[in-house]
Amino acid sequence: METLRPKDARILVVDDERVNVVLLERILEQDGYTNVRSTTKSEQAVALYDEFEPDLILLDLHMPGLDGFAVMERLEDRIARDTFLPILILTADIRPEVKRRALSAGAKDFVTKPFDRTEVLLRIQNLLETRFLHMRLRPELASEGQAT
Amino acid sequence: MWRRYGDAIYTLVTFAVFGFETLALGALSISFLLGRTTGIASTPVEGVLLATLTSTASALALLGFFLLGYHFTSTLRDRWHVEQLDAWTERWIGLALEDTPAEQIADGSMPRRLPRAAVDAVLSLLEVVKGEEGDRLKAVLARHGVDRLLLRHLRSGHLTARLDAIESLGKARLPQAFDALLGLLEHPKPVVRRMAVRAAAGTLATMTPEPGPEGPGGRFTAALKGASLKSGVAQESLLLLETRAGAVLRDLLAEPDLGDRLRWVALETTGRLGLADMAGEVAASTTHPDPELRAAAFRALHRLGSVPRTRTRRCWTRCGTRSTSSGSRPATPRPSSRPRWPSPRSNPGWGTTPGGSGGRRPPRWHASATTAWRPSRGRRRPIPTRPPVRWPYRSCWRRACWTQPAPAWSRGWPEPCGARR
Amino acid sequence: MWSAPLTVYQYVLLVYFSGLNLLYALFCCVGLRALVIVFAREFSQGSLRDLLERDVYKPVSILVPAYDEEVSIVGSVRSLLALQFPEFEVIVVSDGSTDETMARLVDAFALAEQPWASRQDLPTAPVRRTFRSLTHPNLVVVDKENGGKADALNAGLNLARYPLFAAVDADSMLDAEAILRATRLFVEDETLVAVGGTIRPLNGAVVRDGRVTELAMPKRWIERFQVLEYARAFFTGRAGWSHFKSLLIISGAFGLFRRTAVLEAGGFLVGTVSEDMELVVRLHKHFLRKGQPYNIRFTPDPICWTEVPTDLKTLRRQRNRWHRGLCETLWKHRDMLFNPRYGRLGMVAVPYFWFFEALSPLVEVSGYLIVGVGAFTGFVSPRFAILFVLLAVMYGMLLSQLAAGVETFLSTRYPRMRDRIVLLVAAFIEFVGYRQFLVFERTLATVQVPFKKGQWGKMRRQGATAIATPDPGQAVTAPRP
Repeated sequence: METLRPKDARILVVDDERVNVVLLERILEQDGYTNVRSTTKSEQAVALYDEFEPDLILLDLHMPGLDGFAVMERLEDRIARDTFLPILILTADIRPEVKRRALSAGAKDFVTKPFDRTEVLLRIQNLLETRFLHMRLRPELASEGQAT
Repeated sequence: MWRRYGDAIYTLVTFAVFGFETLALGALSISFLLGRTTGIASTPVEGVLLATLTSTASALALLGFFLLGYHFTSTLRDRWHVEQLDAWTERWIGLALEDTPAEQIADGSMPRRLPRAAVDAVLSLLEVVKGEEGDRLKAVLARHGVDRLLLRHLRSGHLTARLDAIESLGKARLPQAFDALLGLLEHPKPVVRRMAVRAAAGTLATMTPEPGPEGPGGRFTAALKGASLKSGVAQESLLLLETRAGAVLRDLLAEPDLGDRLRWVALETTGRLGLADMAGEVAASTTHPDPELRAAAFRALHRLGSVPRTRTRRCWTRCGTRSTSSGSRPATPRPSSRPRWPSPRSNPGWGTTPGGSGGRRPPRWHASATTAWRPSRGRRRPIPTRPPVRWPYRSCWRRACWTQPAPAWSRGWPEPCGARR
Repeated sequence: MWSAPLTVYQYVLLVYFSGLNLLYALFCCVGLRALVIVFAREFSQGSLRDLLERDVYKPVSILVPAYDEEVSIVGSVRSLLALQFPEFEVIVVSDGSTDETMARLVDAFALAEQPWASRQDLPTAPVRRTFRSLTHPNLVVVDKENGGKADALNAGLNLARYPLFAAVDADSMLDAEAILRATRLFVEDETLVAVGGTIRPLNGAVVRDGRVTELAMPKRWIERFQVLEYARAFFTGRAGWSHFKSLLIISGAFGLFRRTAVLEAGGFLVGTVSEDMELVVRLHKHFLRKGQPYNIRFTPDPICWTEVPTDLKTLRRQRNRWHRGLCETLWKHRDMLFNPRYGRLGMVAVPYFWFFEALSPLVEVSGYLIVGVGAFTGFVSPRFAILFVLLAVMYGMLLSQLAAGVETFLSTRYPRMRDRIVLLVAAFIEFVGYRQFLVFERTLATVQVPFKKGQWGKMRRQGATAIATPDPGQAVTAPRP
């Protein structure tokens, strides 16, 4: 299996604020991520997921119409149980109950707004490394499971 | 929700039109009432009527063309504004991420006075990014004198200019504007105070912490204590403090002479922010003479996961500290977040709906404001989630609930905000 | 013999006409100024976003009274449950429905009967059963004996457990952010008792996922006139009254109330056609008598979209009902008229509604008659009569144009130039036929008030897509020239 580098990852950005989307795209582009798609319409998130099959999703929590929680709920059916799909939440809300709710809904990490570029990139890198490690190990784990 | 471009002009045109029309109608009415003629029609009166008609027709035409013209120009302007905003956003992102050197940005092609779109773009970015990138953007504002302009508008006598400046400074979070914003907490207009406290809180969240009453946190606390703000607004501002909220809340709760209203706000905010290390400060309010403050303290402790031990809890139920400040009655007992209710069988003001028809005739409920309401036989008890409170507290329960005191809100206490109490 | 009384009546008409238009102009200008200075300047999208992200709101109970709504009830409740609001409950009250309303609800939402313990703060018709949903924990359904819409709302209020409630119609489209913005006002102002938002006609709009994605003028002129009427009523009329703290009407389609305040005032009044207006007037009365600071305001920001009648028959019935409701409410609270105990309300607002809203159709019809008869008999110069009528009509057009203008400044406005022209043309031709039709109907309603007390008439439901008869309690009074 071809070894994927985190920089080859497909990243999907979902945020209703165009400024946030543009900024994140530029930050990612500057850091070497070339495969980035984005949308400001949360209703398109699921369709984009099906089409793009991202390795990481940057998701805003508070959006008009479908908010981040609703998007995660809809994605839950599409993500296979043995898949590690990291969802990085962008939020200004630091309250523990919100974090707990997002974590239980499927988020893997948080970035609070206003965010720091270095922190964002480090979190993205960590999540993608975990994702690709999981993908590499998945066939072995599956075969182990069959053997036992 | 509103296009601010041109609305002031439209308002002035409308005022002028209606002012003129009012004068015309007034002239018409006076000429009638002067009794120029036994009938209402006469040449002088008809003349005034014609003049009024002409002016109204002109006003119609003027407004009509204005609106059509405005629609056309505003559509173009909106499109242009979005393009400008995008262009400036790209430019500023380049600067912030150091893709484009500052000198190149600051060359002769950049106007000395930044256009509105450029300022809006910077402010939008400052809401999103901090650290080195944020500092570079703030330097842009300083280089072009935008911060000085905003501070000047802050002192402006013109309300809209002042409000715009407060909003922009709240987004920019410039430390040099902090004290000016605190000064506006004593402004006579509530809208100015509201916006100023939010902007100040957002700014404080990004400032370097300095301990002591002379530090920014101490100054904010002092200003908050002296400001005349509604509880909800004060609570919002404390929530906007983010990681700096703990120090401010600690200062507030440690103050023995703190007003009840602000204490309530501090307790609520501590609970909502989940500041578990402040459980001790919160617990001190569980013996406060005012039941609403006791309720707020216990609510906060519950959120912090520090429900007090038996002794204090007994004191709580004995003192009738029901959650009246929530403004609601528990329809069904909810697990883990509700006090233990006694059976409502003993209480005439309550009743239950039957669990099922089962062929029985449903009871007839005849609750009225004047007669005691008695549910009929055959009803089922509601489903309690905990065993009922022991009977010694029944009198407290009755006294607390069944004497129908005025709701907390009408006694001047706010209801707790937001989610998931 | 008749000339003297006719002359006197002409002067009365003139004074009435001038006074009415002066007041209209005043409210239009004040309302516009309030919109431009207060609403447009105080909050931008960004600032509000920060606060909304921090869950600074109050939870809401949404009450949905239903009677024989088997066709549309499931769709309506589903759309309400889909609101992206952080914390709310939906309480559907079936007011003795004789059709399959309850059965459809039980099937669609997996309802299970559950005994319920609640305070009976308000007397209502007997409640037969209460249900909770196994799939939607925030849905409660109540089956009660028939008692009317107000009675159903009171039953819902008894069960509601959140500090705020909204009594919505099954056919209104609510925006979750609209409710969030409205509840924030209660956070900001603890004395706030009720808030009314803006109602805008949904006809012609494109709706996707419960949101209006594209706004376009409807095809029929009857709907276009109503677009103008609603703009006039809300952006000029109510904005002005709210600025003077004398708002007497909050539309039933979108009104947010503080539950404890409404319970204190005694809940909704059973047996009236416009229970929402009656409630607002009673809230004013209650708190003025009590001497407690309070506030009832209109805010243009939260928008509720509703289907307006598309045919004359339904429109007639609706306006008849509204006007009867207005007259019933004013008559019930006639002790407020010119009563200084009620301050600005008693001395300005209530008299205004009496003389310039309730009685204005009669005055207007009599004006047409007198001018017409006078011109015919030669008492009034025909030329003068025509000019005067023309002036009255043109002044009304001016007010309509102002309302159309306010709509131009909204972010969600009719975007196409063609629609803008249609709206301005509607401001002109509204007064050639449509307006007179409504004046006639309202005159009839005034006469029918003693005979049709509390009667709604038949409500027609056409299904989930097109509901021709909006909320009967939606007391949007169209201003007149």
